[in-house]
Amino acid sequence: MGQKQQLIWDLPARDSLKINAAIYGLTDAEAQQRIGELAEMLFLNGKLEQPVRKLSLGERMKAELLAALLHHPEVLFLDEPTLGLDVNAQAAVREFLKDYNQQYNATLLLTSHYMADITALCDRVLLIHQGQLIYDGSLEGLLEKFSPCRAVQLDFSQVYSRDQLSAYGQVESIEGQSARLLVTREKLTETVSKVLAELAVVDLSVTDSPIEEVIGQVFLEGIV
Amino acid sequence: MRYLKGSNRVWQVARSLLSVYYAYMVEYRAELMFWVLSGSLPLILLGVWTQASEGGQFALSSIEFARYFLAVFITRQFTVVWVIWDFEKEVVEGTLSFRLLQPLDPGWHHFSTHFAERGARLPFIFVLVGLFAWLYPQAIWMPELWRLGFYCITLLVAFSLRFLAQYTFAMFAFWIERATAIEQFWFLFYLFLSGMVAPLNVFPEGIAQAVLWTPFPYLIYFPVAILLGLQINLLQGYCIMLGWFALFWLANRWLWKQGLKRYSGMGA
Repeated sequence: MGQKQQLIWDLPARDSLKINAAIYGLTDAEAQQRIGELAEMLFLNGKLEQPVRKLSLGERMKAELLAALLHHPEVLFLDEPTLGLDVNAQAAVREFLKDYNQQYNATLLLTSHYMADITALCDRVLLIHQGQLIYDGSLEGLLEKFSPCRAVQLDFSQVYSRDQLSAYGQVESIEGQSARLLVTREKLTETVSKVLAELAVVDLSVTDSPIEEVIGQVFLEGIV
Repeated sequence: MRYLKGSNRVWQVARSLLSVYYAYMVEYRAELMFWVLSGSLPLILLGVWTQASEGGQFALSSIEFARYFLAVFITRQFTVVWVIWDFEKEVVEGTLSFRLLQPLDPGWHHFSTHFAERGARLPFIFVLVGLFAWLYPQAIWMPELWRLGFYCITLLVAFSLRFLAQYTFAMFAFWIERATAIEQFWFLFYLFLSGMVAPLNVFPEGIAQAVLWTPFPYLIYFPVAILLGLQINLLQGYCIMLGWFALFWLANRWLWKQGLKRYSGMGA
């Protein structure tokens, strides 16, 4: 499924679905059952009777998904499925794709510039840079390979200098009584214990670097 | 899972395509009236030729001219084709990609759209024929039933041939940006050699005989001549028609295969 539409613009989506059902040889009963199931999963009940031109972009994308999935394809190619959708519609499409994947055991091949699509849906990530495959593996593996450090966000009850904090890890930023350190995954436990024991810590949280940052860095540096 | 197979499936596909595309065309009923009127050139020529025949020597009388151009008008209405514009848009904009994923040749979508449109166009044709009957009551006639039967069959073949010819030119959209230019060039010959502007009976004998070997007269003149009972060689006509159909079919399939290798569906 791509950015072009297959639904007939001036007719209700149900009419286009009727054609798709016939082309894939579904009986009327089978088609109705599938349309009902998918419409419920996509929260499209009542929308299929409206002309496609009157649907919002999010509803139209969901109706396009329904049309593409009516014959229960085993492999689904998705090109930017959430492009241009608002946050709620993006989340709904992601949730639906996840459910479809689990319910029908289908393979989803997805291209997206939205990292939220990738983190929500992908077990396996292929990173292509300038025509070269630079990574093929899990999302966790990608982070481990290209972002070996984790970020430790610290709030103190007093101010510490960069020199004092650099003994614990790479100081990414200091702002008043807050600081952000980058610590390798191997040394994380040890470093956190040490920080808690030696510094006046009020609050501490550990996060991965945002996936956008990691991938952006990979593309910027052209790491192969 | 319950799937349809064989003839049941073919029937269901045809029924679904025709019913949905009929509904689609009915959405444009206001525009349809203008499309029908845009094809009223034969009715204008009717007036010109009936006037001319009253003051000169022609192969047809003024009443025969009136009947001829009425039949041309009806034939033209049932053989109007625009597939090249739709197909060109699909190729240029990349929407053809969807159709390629489906287990049905995209040509059937276009053929069904055209076929269903004939049904939506029918009421407007009746209105204009009624208008003709009111204006030229002396020209109204009832053809024999067998002629009407042959006319309907020939009309279907003429429409299919016109569709296939234009769909074949549409294949050039894989190579050039504006395949419609080819159709516009072809239309010049279609206009004069199909019998739309003048019946072949008024052409010089040698030219009329030569034109009969081209596909053009079989798109309008031939079915009209069957309906009116003008002198034609029926068997030869059908053979030439089917010959052109076969030729366009082979060209169409070859161009389709070659064109698909070039198609990239940009932005799809």
